[in-house]
Amino acid sequence: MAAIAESPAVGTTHGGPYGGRIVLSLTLRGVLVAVYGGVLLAGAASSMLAVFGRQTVAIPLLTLLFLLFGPGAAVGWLLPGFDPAVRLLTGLFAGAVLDCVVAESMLALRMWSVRGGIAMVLLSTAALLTAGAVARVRGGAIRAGG
Amino acid sequence: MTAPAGGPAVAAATPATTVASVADVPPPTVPETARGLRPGTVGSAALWALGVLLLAVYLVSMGTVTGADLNAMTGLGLVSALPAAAMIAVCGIAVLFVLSLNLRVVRPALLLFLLLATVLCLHGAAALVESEPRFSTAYLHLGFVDYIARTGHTLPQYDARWGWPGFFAVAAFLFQAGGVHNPLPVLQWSQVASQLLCLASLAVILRAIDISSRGRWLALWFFVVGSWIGQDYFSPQAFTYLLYLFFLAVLLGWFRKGGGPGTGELPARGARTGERAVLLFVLLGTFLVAVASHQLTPFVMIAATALLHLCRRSLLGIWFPVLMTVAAAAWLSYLGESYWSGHLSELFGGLGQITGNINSGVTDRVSGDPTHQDVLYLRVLLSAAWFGLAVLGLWRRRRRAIRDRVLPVLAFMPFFTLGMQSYGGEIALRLFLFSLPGVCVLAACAFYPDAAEGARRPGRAATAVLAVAAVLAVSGFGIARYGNETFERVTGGEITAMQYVYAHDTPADTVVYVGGAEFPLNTQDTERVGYQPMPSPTDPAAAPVDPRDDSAFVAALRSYGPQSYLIITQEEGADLEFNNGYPADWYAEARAALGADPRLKQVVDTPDAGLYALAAPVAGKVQVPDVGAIGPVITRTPWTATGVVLLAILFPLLLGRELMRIHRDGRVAAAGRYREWMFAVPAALLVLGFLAVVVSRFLYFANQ
Repeated sequence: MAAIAESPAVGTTHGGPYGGRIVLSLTLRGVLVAVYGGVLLAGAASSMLAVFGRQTVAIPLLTLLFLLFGPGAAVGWLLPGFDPAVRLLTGLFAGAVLDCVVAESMLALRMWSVRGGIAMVLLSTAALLTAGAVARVRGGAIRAGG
Repeated sequence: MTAPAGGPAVAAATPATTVASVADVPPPTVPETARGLRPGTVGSAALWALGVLLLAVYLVSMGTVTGADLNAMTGLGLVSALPAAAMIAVCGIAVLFVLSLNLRVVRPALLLFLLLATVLCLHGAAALVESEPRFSTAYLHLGFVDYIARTGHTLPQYDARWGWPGFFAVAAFLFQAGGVHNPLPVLQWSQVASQLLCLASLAVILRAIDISSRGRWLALWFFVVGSWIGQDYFSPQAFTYLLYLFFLAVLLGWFRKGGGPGTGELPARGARTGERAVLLFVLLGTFLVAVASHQLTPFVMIAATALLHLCRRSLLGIWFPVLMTVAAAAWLSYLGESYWSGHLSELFGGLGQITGNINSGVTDRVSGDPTHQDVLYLRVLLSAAWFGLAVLGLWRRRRRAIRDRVLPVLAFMPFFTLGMQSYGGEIALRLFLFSLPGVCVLAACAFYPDAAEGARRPGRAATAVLAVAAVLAVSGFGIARYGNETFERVTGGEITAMQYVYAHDTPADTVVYVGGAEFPLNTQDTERVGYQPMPSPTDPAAAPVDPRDDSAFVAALRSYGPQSYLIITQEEGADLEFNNGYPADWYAEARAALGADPRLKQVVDTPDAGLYALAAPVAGKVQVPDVGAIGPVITRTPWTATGVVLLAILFPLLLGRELMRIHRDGRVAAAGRYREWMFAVPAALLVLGFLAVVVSRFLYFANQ
């Protein structure tokens, strides 16, 4: 339990909206981020294999995890100024929204294809990551230039 | 506690630097006790221990509930089948929450634990004791998902819900991609998961409101005990309700302006232009998905956005709700065409019938078994009590010179839905559902009306009153939420009977049923299995009142030809008993009579359900259900193409306009007023032109 501490609001004016914070230790936070990143990478790799028709026991599960959390993580990356919890929530919903837009588009255009849908989600995630990278490089260049 | 997406952990883990200080008048220093502990540590440890103990008691006693207990349910529903220990434990958790709330020091981890325990106890009750997920409509939605996954099409003439298939499409996509062959566990726990996601969004919404941290926690807890409507099962409404709360969280979190002392809201947070642009796309995407998934939710979103703009609480311009209206109208006119083109009068018949909608919402649902009638009246009373508390909260805030604008919009804006839609009586329930995010906060303000700065800890008398209110709210929830469980529950026997039907549906089957179709129908093979109520021109339940007279059943099976089955289930019997005044032993008598009839053979025999077919083959053709043409279908009228062109111009135009506003941080310089008009006049003409196309399409079909 040493990794999780509670910091109540007594004696401080920075108690947060809920009267205190639940603080994770740096080590635990690092482990969580590493696990999250690792699962997303494995999910992206599985999704690519699924697009090319490969099927094993783990591929559908990892693909599902990628569809649920991958695009959202990319959206979260586009919001560097927000706290992690809000980025996670926004990412979760943004990911669901992207999945739904892809699925609904395939249905409305009568082009239903699960593999095609996974490919579209992968491409959209790559596009979001590229946009984020470009924004960061430009932001860095602007800051460096004063 | 470590689950980052779980409920208020989201907000609890927020770095304090992003928001204004909202600590409840803490003492200036932390006095240490003689033993070196922070004040209240012993009390907090005792509350933790009691909380864990009560949760354990609840879970263990729920484990003792058997199928026989569930079969013995009375008109009060699930509550009548649960052990007293479970109910005492859940009321005890409610009291513990109130005591924890009024500790000298706010303990977020303890409050979070008790909040999550309340979610599990209240919203997981059915999942804990029932062997199969509830309830029959969720299975119907699984059938829609199954059809999309197998065919990649919709069936717009089969059911109105097919006109808004976004939720079914994404579920089919995720189930197929994830290799989910048995989605029943998803159904079983969808209510708990949905509640947790709602709480996460609500926690973010509450960060915009100027209220004490105790008030915030109470608002979250009130949301959990106020969600008795039961629209959180596997359904488009549950999905779009989540989207609605997330939409509000983004709107109030990053597209709000104003706020500060006396306004009821905290000062608006800043965000970088790029980040706000990303959030604008997320906001619009969320809305569009709601448009594609549900008939009603998008209009509540539009109303919320427009009213917040009119109250000068939104950074978004008036053109954003206009863009939303155009998108919703476009979907209704084009992709929702199959729904309204056949029954225009039905669609618009509901407009303006406010009293009729309320009356049918209350009285039509109140008939049959007297105990069950009490449940239905309790629902009405409970809604009124929650709205009453909200009004009291608003009044107490005004007495403290806090002029709320956002909260009244959230709580009372959904009343406009009473005047629209052809949901009939159900609209009254939806109204409460959409009001709840505002109502739960205002109800919390009735007990904690103070603003964040200078909030006081309530005295013992106030704590006692709140504890009584909490126990009443939990008891009311149990009866209102699970009061229909006698006929809404799904049993293993019903699923076994329907599995037999699906296994023998080549080329097609017809299933004859009685009552209000309270069994898991249409879980798969939509285009091969037809469902027919017992034919009767007068009796809505259409079952013979004397269960020993089964000749009507035999005649019905003969009339539907080969491969037709009669299903009789315990839940149908309960439905007839509680809603139509049939005798309590109707089900048992009917099963006995049907089992003894030589003209019938029983192909599935379980204690909860029986499936019957004719013993001797009947001549004729197998009836294949008429599911209509596959969709989506868009009929070309003379103005249809013009509408598409106008939409293609309007959408980027209005979106670009909003992006420009974000770039300028919502400011329109005085010198820019002239340019504002230069935009407004042509944009308004284009919008009017598009709406004219929508009207022309309605008229085209009305004249057909």
